[in-house]
Amino acid sequence: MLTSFFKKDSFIKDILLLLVVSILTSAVFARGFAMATDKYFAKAITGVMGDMGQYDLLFQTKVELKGALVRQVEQVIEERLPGASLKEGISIAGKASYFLTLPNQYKNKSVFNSLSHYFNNLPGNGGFTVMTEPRINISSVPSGAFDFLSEQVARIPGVRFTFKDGNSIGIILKNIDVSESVLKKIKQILAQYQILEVRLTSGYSQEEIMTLGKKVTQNLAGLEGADYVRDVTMAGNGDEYQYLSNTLLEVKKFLMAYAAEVKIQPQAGEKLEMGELLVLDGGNTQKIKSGAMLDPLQVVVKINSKDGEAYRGLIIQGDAGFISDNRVYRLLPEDKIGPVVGAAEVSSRKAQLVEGLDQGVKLLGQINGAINDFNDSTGGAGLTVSGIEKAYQQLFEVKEVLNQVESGIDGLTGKTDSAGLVKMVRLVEGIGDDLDYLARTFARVQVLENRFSKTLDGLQNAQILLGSPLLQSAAGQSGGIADKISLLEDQLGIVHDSLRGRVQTLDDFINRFNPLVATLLTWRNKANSFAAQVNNFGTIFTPGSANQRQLVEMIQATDQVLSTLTGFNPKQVKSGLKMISDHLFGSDRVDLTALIVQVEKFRDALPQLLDEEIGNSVNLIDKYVDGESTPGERLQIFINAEIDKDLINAAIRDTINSSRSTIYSLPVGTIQPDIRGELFKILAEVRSTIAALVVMILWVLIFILDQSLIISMLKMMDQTLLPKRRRWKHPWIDWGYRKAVKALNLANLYATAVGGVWLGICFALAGAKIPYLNYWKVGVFGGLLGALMSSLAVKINPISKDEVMAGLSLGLPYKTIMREIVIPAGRPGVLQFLNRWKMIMK
Amino acid sequence: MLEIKGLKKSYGHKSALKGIDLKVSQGETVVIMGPSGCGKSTLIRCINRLTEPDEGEICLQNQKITEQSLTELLKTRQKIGFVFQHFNLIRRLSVLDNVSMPLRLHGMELEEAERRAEVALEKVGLAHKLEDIPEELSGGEQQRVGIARALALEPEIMLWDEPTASLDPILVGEVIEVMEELVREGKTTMIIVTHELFFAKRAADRIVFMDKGKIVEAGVPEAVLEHPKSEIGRKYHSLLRY
Repeated sequence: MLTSFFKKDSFIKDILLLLVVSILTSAVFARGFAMATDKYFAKAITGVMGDMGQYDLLFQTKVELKGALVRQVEQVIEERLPGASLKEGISIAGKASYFLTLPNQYKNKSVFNSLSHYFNNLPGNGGFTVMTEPRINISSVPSGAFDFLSEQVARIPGVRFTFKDGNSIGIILKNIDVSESVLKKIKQILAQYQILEVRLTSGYSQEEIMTLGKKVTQNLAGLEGADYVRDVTMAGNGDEYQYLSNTLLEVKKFLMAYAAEVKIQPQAGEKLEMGELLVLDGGNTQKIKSGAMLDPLQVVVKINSKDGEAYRGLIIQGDAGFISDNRVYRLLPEDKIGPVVGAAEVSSRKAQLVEGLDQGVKLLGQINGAINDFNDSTGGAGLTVSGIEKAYQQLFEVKEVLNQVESGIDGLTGKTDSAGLVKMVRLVEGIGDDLDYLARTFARVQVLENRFSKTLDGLQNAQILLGSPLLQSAAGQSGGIADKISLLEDQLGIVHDSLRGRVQTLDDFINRFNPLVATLLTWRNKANSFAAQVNNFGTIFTPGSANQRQLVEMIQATDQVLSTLTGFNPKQVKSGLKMISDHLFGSDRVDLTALIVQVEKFRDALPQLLDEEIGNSVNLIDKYVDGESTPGERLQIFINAEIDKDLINAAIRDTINSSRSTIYSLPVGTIQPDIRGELFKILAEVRSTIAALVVMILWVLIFILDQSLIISMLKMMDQTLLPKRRRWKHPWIDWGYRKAVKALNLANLYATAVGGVWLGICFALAGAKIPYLNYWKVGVFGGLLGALMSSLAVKINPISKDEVMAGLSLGLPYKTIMREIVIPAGRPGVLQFLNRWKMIMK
Repeated sequence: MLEIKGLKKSYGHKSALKGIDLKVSQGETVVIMGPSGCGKSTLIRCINRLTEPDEGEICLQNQKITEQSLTELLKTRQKIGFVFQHFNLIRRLSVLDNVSMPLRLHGMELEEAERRAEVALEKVGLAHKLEDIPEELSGGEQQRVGIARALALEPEIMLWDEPTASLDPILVGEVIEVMEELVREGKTTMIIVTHELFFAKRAADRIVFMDKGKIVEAGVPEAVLEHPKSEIGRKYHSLLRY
């Protein structure tokens, strides 16, 4: 059937030939024209940009400043980049351009990262663009992830080095051949990560957002697959700025805790505003009063928060120490003091902290002194023990003498051995001296115990101070100060516990020796009394006499003392006392002297700032952080891409405690080809657009010159898909049917079909493109144009009906009428050109 | 030779022919007359299906033209010469080419075709205008070329659709003269639609009066013109007095 179709001489074949030839010719012409244009522009680009890799930097400035630019660039070349060459480029629209070629040795990361430093402040706000090729760019990289990604990309085989180009990672390749493979690897790396953007509800301060970022990051870090999590909320600046902002916020916390707290209770009916300035009397010579001008020594407070009915403020002029009156005045414009608006409660945490540390140093000094004293008194304690041992021996001797005296008493006369009595008196006198010494030594031990006990209480207070929330918040959650305070607190704890043990030991010692010493002293008094009596009233111990009773009592008292002293273990007591004398405390071996030095250093390291300096510093930090930090109420977290989305959402929502926030996953960067690639990409688009325009023009031409003739002929034939004679009873249906008959006219159908097919195929063959329209849509567009053209065809390319009728009357078929009558009379075009081979009546 | 039965034709809702019955014998010259819009031209165009009839039957030499395929119809049309009111010449072709064109396009050799064309042109008195193009000719001459083109195919029947209607009165004569000559020859059956009353009286074997899509009266010229029965006939009769 197909063969017979091709063998048969029909006008449909002529139409097909026309279509093929016109489409191919048009496509080739359009493609050729577009390519020629493309080539022209490509040549222009090469003229502007140089050959691939020829130039490294492009400088631009105002034409009138180009001399200054050249001088500055040449100076940099001479100083930092010897061997580099500068070439003048074209000047367009008042802008001069220069190209710099760098010697190979300067094409490295270090130099490229320093270029912005080398060429800063170019004349006329001039700038430069890195043109080194072959190159790939990853743009829109968050600053927090910049170094991380840059390092990963730098390890890709074929990458020469990477550098920072604004917010982009510039990637210089070893050669153009590796471009595809490097691009593929970069895509793989970027696909491994994502930026989670958490859109927060309103009401978060910049500081809160940064704190929230930290918390979210910490929570996400615990998820499975989260190897690298980073808060990259800070936009625009590098890591250094983020570190600086974080540090400043920590400093602010410290300063806020360190600053004096002013709580203002407004008077009834008075309303204060955030940021409003208030004045307190600073105790200067001139007393504060309404209507006067603000004095430099008066204290100015700026309200920064509301606390129920009261307000809290920060001192921005003067110091809490200056305040002499708690009445608060409003500060009016032009530094005029207004009326009293309330009363202030001022608590200077700075003073409290300094005082606490001072007290700590003082107490530690006391402990040290007490220890030293104890060291001295250890001998005393030892002496006490030895004294008691000695007294025990002596008492035995006294008892023996007393026993001798008692046994030597004559039963009738009551006389005894006078020599024994004399010995007893001497012994008692000797013991009395020893016991006096023992009592004094023991009293020293008691004093020491008392000092230790008092110091222990003071130490406990110091420890409470160091562990107080005030100091904790002042020191922050981490960092050197916090560590030092924590260490100090621990060491004080060790000192405290150790000291408590020693006090206990001393208490035990005193408790044990106190009755012994008392007993000994009582015995001594009795012995002294007895000895004096013997000395004064003679040696008669008549039974039943007072002397004899005293002797018996003396013997009994001595026995009692001896029995008390019998349970005493001097060795054990001495060993216990030795522990107290140790200079180093416990197993941690805290050196008290070193500890005192540490506390003193810490005290000295505290900022020697007035409250006004603190207040102004806090304001400055606020201004800086607000200006530099987050770009809105959102968080941006850099994290691995392959983590369960639900887990991420749950972790974030748990942290921010809000279900209203929305979470988006964004790419970590966008790959961009180099400038030349971009330009050529644009050129390709221009080429396809030009091709599209040319195809459209040719379509119109073909339709005007050729197709309209065929359409006109079909219109004349007036054939339609629907039967023309059919009639409908209902007038509206009949009217609609007539319209349909007319619309489905063969001419309209042909024009629509050919218009669509022609345009679609020609677009595809010519490589033509129109934004947002694929070839199918272009085909539909062509069909619509064809239908439009059908309605105009008779006007564009009219056919002589008379001639056609003549041909018909002569028995000529339509193809012959077309070839011999219609086409030769029509407009010159492809159809007429092709028809020449078919014509008989030339 | 030609028989028309119940021929009907409508243009939209308007009926142009309301059932025409007509028989034409071999060699007969039939003149169809009637007021403008009565369906004369439609009738004559329906005979070779230049206008497609809606109903009815047309037989030429026992062949039903109305049932013929396009290929058959084309062959039939070669046997039917047609002369148009507006000459319908091919403007780009010379006089000779206009006349020889149907012959050549039907497969005749160039020389033979041109020879026959020259004969036909000589018959209409235009042998001296062979190389002229239609624009260079007068209306009468153009119509004579049209007649020559129809004659060149040596048709069995000639259909004339008001051949003098587009000519100014001075030029009408030369065309009438050719027509009368052809009638005199009597070789060809002719159906002529015209308003030329005197020509009809002189040349027609039969005159057919039409009105409102119907044949209202038909007969030999003497009968229908001298003793008309129809209103149209009476109008034409009255014209004979002038």
